[in-house]
Amino acid sequence: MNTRWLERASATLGISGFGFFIFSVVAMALGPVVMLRKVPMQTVEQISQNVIPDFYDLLVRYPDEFKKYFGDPGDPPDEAKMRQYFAEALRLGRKVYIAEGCWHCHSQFVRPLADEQLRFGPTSWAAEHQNELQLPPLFGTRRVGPDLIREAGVRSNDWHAAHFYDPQAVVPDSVMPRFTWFFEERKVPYENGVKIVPNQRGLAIITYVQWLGSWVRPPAEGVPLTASAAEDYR
Amino acid sequence: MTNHVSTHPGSGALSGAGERPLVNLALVKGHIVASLVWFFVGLTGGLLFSMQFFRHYPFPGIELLSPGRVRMVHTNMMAYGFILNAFFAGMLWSIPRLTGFPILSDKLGRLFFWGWQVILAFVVGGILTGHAQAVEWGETPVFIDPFISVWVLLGVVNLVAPILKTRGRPLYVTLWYFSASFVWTVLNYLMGNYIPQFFVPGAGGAAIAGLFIHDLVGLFVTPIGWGLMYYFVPSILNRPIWSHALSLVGFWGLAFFYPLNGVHHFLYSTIPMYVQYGAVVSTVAVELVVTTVIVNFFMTLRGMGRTLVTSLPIRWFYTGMVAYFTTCLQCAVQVQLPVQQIIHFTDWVVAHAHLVMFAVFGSWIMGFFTELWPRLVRRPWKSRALLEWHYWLTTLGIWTMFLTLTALGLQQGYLWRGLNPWEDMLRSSIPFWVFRTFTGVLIIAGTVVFAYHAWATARQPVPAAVTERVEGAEPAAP
Amino acid sequence: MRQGLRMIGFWGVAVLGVMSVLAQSVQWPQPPIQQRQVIENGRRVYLRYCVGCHGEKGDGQGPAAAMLWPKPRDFRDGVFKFLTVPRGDLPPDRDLFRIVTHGLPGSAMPSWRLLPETERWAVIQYIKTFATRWQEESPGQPIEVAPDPYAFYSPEEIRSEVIPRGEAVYHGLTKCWACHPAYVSADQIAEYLRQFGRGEEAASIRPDLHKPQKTTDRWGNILFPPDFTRNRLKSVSSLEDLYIRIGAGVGGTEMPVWKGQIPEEDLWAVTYYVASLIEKRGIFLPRRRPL
Repeated sequence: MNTRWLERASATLGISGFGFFIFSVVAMALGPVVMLRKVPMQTVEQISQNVIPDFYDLLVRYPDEFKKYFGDPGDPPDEAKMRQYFAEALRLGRKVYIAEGCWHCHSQFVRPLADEQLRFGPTSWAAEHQNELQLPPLFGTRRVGPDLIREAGVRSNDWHAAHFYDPQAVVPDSVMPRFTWFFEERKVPYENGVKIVPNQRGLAIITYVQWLGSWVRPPAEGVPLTASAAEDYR
Repeated sequence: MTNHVSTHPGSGALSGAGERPLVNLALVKGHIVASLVWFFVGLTGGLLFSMQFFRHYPFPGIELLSPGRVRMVHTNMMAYGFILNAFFAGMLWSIPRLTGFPILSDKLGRLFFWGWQVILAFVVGGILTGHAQAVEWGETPVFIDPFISVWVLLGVVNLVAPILKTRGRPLYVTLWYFSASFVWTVLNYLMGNYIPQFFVPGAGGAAIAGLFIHDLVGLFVTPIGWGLMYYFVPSILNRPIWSHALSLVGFWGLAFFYPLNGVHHFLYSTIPMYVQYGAVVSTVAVELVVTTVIVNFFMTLRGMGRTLVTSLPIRWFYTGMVAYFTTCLQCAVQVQLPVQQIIHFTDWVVAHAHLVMFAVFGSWIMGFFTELWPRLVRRPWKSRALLEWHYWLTTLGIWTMFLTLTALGLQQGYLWRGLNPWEDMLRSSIPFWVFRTFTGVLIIAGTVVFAYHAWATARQPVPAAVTERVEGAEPAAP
Repeated sequence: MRQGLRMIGFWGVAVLGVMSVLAQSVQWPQPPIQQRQVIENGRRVYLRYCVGCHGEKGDGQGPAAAMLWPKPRDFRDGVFKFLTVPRGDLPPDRDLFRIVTHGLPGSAMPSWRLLPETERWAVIQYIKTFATRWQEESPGQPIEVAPDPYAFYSPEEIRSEVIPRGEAVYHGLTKCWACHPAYVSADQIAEYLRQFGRGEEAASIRPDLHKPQKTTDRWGNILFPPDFTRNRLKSVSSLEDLYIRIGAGVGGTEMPVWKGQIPEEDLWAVTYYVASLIEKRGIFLPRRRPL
């Protein structure tokens, strides 16, 4: 068999260089894109139609900072304005999430495995990643910290604030670094005169994290006082 | 089996065409030095970031040195600073010799060299100031991506010109790998950095990002690494590669199967299952192909095992090949879905990545640096002992790091599987992580030894006897 | 000889019998070693997971506490907020276990459901060492959830009869608007007050009627009672939970025990009314117990 033609630049550049590469892209990358063509990409404006309750909570907790960095939505808060601020916060929050490399230690998809479903919640499906904030996708590759795609409402805003400021103060075993630049000092007439509050980036990253998975957030209000003993272990 | 010698013999230091030297030694040397400089930047980043894992990060609370950002400096400098510069050095040395034609333009070579270093500096600055892009191993800031694209194209044009000048003559194995990789790297960079960033979100984008990550290893680093092996191993051993047929199988098998692998980074994700299964199958296929290549190289060494002791470059090369076989075997095992359940997201993967990028390609790069440096500075290595120290410290460091993190990965996977509290994983990982930093220090120590040794060698007076050998330095006809 | 054996047998049986009877009346102490081990185990758990917020001394002054609001619980006086026992009583372990397991959504207390169950029970035993009250008193009785008188009402009847009655109770009888926001106008409140024969109290209607009144709890922390149409409730996930919360009150705060203070029909009516306020946020409280 004469294989000399396989050794020429035309073959190596043309067949393997262009041909095989394009074949791989068509099979492995265009395939998924075509299969998902009927799930349109949601824009941030569409996402921000449902303002998460935690965003209102931020307005209550940190009113001065909220008004300073996003704007004053009035009282009671104007819903259209809140949607606009929410979109702003989500965009900035995702930017911070990427800039700090959060996605190298936190994944954003739950695999269809029993332990992950019990630990984090329902398995991920394709449509929940079809939005502008997954551009590029933030699936992540490593879990030094837990997965975040079901994080919405699991913890409160002040927990997140305290945790971003000093993770070891909240979780002594944590190896997460401190993000003190998400915070600023505010003068208050109590608590030794100074209070540490999130700045724009802090508010945005908390909003972003609280948004992750807000679409599967259980409607339950709190501790089921009258749950049967068996339900306690769910 | 005979080896089809298909090279136009590169004749000495001068090309036939004119006064221009065949190999631009200054560029080769420049790329080697730059490679080492960025290697130190990357190593420092890795060392610092690893200290965060046991809460002893030396610069806590400093925004510009945030561990998350430093990690990206580590990975990007290893890929684009250390490995790319080193490979350009190797290609600038070998392509003219294999084709008989010099690179397109020395001026272009210098433009590429300096431009690339400036780009890398901007990448470091951009990442540290918080402008990273969320593409793994393409964290280079979005506004720098166009420059990188253009510059990679410039570098490729410069190197592909001598290959095209062969006008359809059959090429030597090395050049198959190089030429294919040039196309792959450019296309891959354009695909991975622009499509998920601007057009395709979610699962589709992840499929593309997965291809990008893997193609960066499989279609840029691996082919050029193997190309350099096909050049340096026969030339140092002074005997041809054992089987030309296996070389053909190795190249075409890799070229077909490697690009299909990428999605195995996102198994059990929302990417359609046929793509995931396809990635698993082709990953196993790559392992089979790799075995043929490894067999080919070890048969080339037959009867000359002693060179592993006497020749440092050969020892580096074959150490790398053992690591390569290990990683590929590991690949075939770890992409199996039941294994993925345990090891995905754990330090097992980190161990694997370090084994591929450093124990394989790092070893090969150190090997041909060891080979080329005396020729470039026209002086023999100053001390054999220091070469040995470099080899042993680095090798010991990377292999113990690999073993530690692999064991740790299994432990983490099973702790998660058992639904233990997350903190259990962290608490039980910390001893491993401390040891990992120690292994990193070994690697850094080895590299410091090498850098010092290279510097000290270059400063020696020129011995007359060596001058001749360097002048006549020639790749033994493969 | 045989006589002697028989005597020994008789006396032996008799002595053993008496001893075994006596043994029943002896108060054997708790096995102290096991107790110590549980508490020691609980201490380890506490130092791993709880100490960041609740502090090493259990005073709610951990390193993270400064940035939290509401503040972490101070364990030193044995008063807890969200229990099934009337406010102020010591809780049974099960109440604490539920809070540890599910967390308190809306506060910084997360759910610890993945912590092994033994560790959760152990940490509760350790928490109880912070307050001396646990040695002096015994836990209170959980309040009883009376049968729901409106259980068989149709949704229309609930809307047209029960909820209006609850609204009248909320604003006129229990005067919840003293701390929580009012959801009707001041004139309407005056009308409801007259309905319950308390017309003269209309003078005490505060001006910022539609906002929560700022209060202070017994630990000195600023506190806003929830606005049901806006704020999340921390211990309510069913209609019965809401009944218990209204019935048992909230420890350490102004929220009183309503169980036994007003008729059961009114207590249930106000429960339905508050549930209807919560529904405005799109949250529908299910009925926990099958009818």
